[in-house]
Amino acid sequence: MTFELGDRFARNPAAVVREADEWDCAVVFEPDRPSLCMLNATAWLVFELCDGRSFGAIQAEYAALFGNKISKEEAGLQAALGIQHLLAFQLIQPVGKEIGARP
Amino acid sequence: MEAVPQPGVSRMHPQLRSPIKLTLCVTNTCNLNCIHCYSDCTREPDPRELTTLEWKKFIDHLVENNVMQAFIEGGEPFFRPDFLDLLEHCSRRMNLIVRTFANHITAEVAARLKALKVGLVCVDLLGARSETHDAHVGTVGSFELGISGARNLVAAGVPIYTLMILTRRNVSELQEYVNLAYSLGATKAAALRLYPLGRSKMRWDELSLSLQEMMEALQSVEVPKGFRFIHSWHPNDGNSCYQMSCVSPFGKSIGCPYLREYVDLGDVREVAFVDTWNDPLWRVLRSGNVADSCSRCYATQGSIGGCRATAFAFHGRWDAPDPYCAEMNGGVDLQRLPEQLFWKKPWVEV
Repeated sequence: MTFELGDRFARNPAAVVREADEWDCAVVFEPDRPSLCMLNATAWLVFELCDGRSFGAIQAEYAALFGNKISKEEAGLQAALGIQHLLAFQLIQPVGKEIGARP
Repeated sequence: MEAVPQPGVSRMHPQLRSPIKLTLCVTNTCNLNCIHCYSDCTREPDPRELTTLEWKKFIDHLVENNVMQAFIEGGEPFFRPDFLDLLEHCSRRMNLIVRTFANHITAEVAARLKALKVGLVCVDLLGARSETHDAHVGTVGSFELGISGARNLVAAGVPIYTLMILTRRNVSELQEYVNLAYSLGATKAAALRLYPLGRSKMRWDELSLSLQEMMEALQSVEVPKGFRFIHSWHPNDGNSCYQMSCVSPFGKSIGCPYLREYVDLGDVREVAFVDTWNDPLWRVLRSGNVADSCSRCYATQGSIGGCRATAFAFHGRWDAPDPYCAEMNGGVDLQRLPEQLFWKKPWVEV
């Protein structure tokens, strides 16, 4: 699955999130599917970044947080994969496109 | 393969500040009369069972304290008259899994479970044939009702697993059971070990298998393509204490349903359930401090030492290895119950 830079994503407002920092993860309950998911640290990060931001902004923030530990391309791939999985479990949802986003 | 930690050095998951998941034993009543019943269930309700209001208040406490999943069993949960009302009180507030013999699951009930967003139903089958299952549960017709209930659930879009407690009387049907589960549309079929609890202790000679017999049966199963068969013997012998919690029908916090005769961590009518999480014994059970462990089970399960309930039952020590693991059995004869399981009857009031 590919995304355009202007695609925006937000967390499912019905999702119930419990931080389990003891285990470096978050547990998320989605009541409509229903499902219980444990998000590892990177998935959790992507989940938190989905606050209405565009895919381009999520990629950029994800890469910035990892600094020089991973390449920009790898950060983009990881962010895309995270979004893909979060969409599959209905933990996030698309919320339109960023106006004026450059392809 | 990751090396197993040194004995006494815990590499279990860090201790959670409070539980994420809970097993809720909502009733000690049942319409059946299982020869192996761990709870010695009855048709008549015990006056000590939590009332509807008490269960609802408890469920509210769980939600307020971020418990994210309830695995609900009994007895037979659907035999409790207010069960659907209790489910509704849980609905959409936490992930729900229900364990049942499915004898009460009509198409209408299945539709209701779907509407209540029950995430999964685990259906107990004690054999692949009616005569085997009905003999285990002491009730003619139970198998057909259970199969019908399972089909109703699948038709309503509620995912199901099947569970079979492995005994001497059904082990020859293990392959047939897996095939049956697949044909019903179950997502997984599970084989469960027989625990020396309740009535099963009294018929252990008749029901129990040797570890060799269990392993031969499990290893001979051919799993249909795309289907999953799961069990908790080697190399899948997990120590689930790190994430388990459980409340009995009588409001006792007991850590796990299989610890019911050995542990009493507090009455949730008198003490906040989340406070029982820090009981010293429970912290020990979650710690993974065991005298010895199996590297392969550690690799698959990420936990150390296997089941604490069977370790304690056969060795009388919380740090003992689990004798149901083929690597850690140490010569323990699983067909002979220690005498203490009979004269300490039980360690705690159930």
